[in-house]
Amino acid sequence: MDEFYIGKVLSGDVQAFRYFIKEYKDMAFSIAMSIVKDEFIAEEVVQDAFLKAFKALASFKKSSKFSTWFYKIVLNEGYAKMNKMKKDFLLFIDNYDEEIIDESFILALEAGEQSTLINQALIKLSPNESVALRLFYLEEESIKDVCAITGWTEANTRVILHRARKNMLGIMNKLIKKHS
Amino acid sequence: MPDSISNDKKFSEIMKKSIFCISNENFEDDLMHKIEIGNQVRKTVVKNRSISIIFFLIGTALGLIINFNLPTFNDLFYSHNITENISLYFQIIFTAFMLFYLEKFLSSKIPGVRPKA
Repeated sequence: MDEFYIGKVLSGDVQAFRYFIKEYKDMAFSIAMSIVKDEFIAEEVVQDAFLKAFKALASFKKSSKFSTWFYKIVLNEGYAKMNKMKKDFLLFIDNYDEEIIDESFILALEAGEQSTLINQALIKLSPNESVALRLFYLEEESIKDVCAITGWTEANTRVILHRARKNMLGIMNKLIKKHS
Repeated sequence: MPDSISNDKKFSEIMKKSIFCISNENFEDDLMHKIEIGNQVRKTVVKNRSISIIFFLIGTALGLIINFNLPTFNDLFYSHNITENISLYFQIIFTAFMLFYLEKFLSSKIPGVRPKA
């Protein structure tokens, strides 16, 4: 399906690009949120990434998936934005090694509560860990695809994923304790 | 460690609920509007470049014709030196314009999506 619309856009049908916006905007926004942690800046990042993808569409090599190529652009835009704002943007990342919550407890919560809790925890997680979790578990990319998108080595990706999962459960435990 | 990651269905289920949605309802239309404007700019740039090439070639041809024919206008001037000087200034200005144009033409970028080769 992606290839069909790429062909349409390249042959001059600009409106065909709407398909990519509809299909990838939410995941791109989630990835951007993982990095910049701010809704408005993340929206800007996604917009810039789509504009960049549109301009560079002719250079897209069909040997990889469109999503892999596009998420790479989103990540680069996100990190570039974060670096620009570094002066007034500080991340405070606690150590969540001590206590880890059982997943069943989270799954027993109401759907709305679950979603809020998970997203709050992801915002508190470091950009790299948050991106790794979203790509691997939410987008169900393989380890190889995560490496292709992020540029990390396979071993590094596995370590980040393991640490991210542990930290994520630790943060959720703290958040639940805080609210109860 | 890697197997425990890939086999963890419960954690996967939790992460499925982590997708964010863009709250701006006009996001899609705004973006398409920006893309369309960019594309129109690109079309205008391409058109202007073609026109500039045509005028450049016409200018070059006329310039060469004048340059080669200047010595034949000796009768119009009192001195032979005047036509030689005019010819020299003309050549300098012509070369400067040509270099200036080439520099601008080569450094200009066409915005927007590039069509398939």
